[in-house]
Amino acid sequence: MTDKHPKKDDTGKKKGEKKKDKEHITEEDFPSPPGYGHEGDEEARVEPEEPWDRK
Amino acid sequence: MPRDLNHPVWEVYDLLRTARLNSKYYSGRIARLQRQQFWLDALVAAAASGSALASLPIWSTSFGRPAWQAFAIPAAVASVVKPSLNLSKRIRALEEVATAYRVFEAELRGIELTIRTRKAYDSGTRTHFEHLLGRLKELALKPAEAKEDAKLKRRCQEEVKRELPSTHFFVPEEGK
Repeated sequence: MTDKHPKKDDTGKKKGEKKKDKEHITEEDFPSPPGYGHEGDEEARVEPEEPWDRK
Repeated sequence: MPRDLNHPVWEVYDLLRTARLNSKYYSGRIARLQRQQFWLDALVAAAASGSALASLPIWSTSFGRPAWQAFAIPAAVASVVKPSLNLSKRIRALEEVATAYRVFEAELRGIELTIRTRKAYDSGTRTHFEHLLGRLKELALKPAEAKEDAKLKRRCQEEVKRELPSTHFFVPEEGK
């Protein structure tokens, strides 16, 4: 009898999925040099170090 | 009469100064990356075996040989590192962000002018500002660098403080 709902491992993946993932190495598998993160790592906004004065 | 420091209009002025800070900061980052790109390109091009510089007879003298070697090592490192820095792509992405902040700043200056001329922060102006806040959230989602240049940010913040001091802004009377 076949298992209609294969058990999932700790990462939530079904059995047999891990091997498939390793076959597809993407850019994300390689770390970026320091200070040169992947796009989208941070918000495109800098905040002032202290609040703007109101006098 | 003392100015109301908790008037909602200060949200407009604070955001205007933050937009100006971002516009300056990202323009500064672009200029810095462009300088890096220029010098890396120049170094790699000058050390290329077919370049006019490499073909000078001085490099075959007893003084020139070690000098050329000392120059060729950083040039070789530069040619290896250059593609992984992806400078052109990063400059393009930051140009998009800087342009968006310049547009955003111009719109906030428009709101500031409206408040000054009407001498009030009315519902129409508030609606315009709320609409801009929605756009700011979208703008912040654009690709950016993982590391912030703290020194550049401090310098830009000081410039903004000088350009747009709090005394520059009009604060309507309470209830307006």
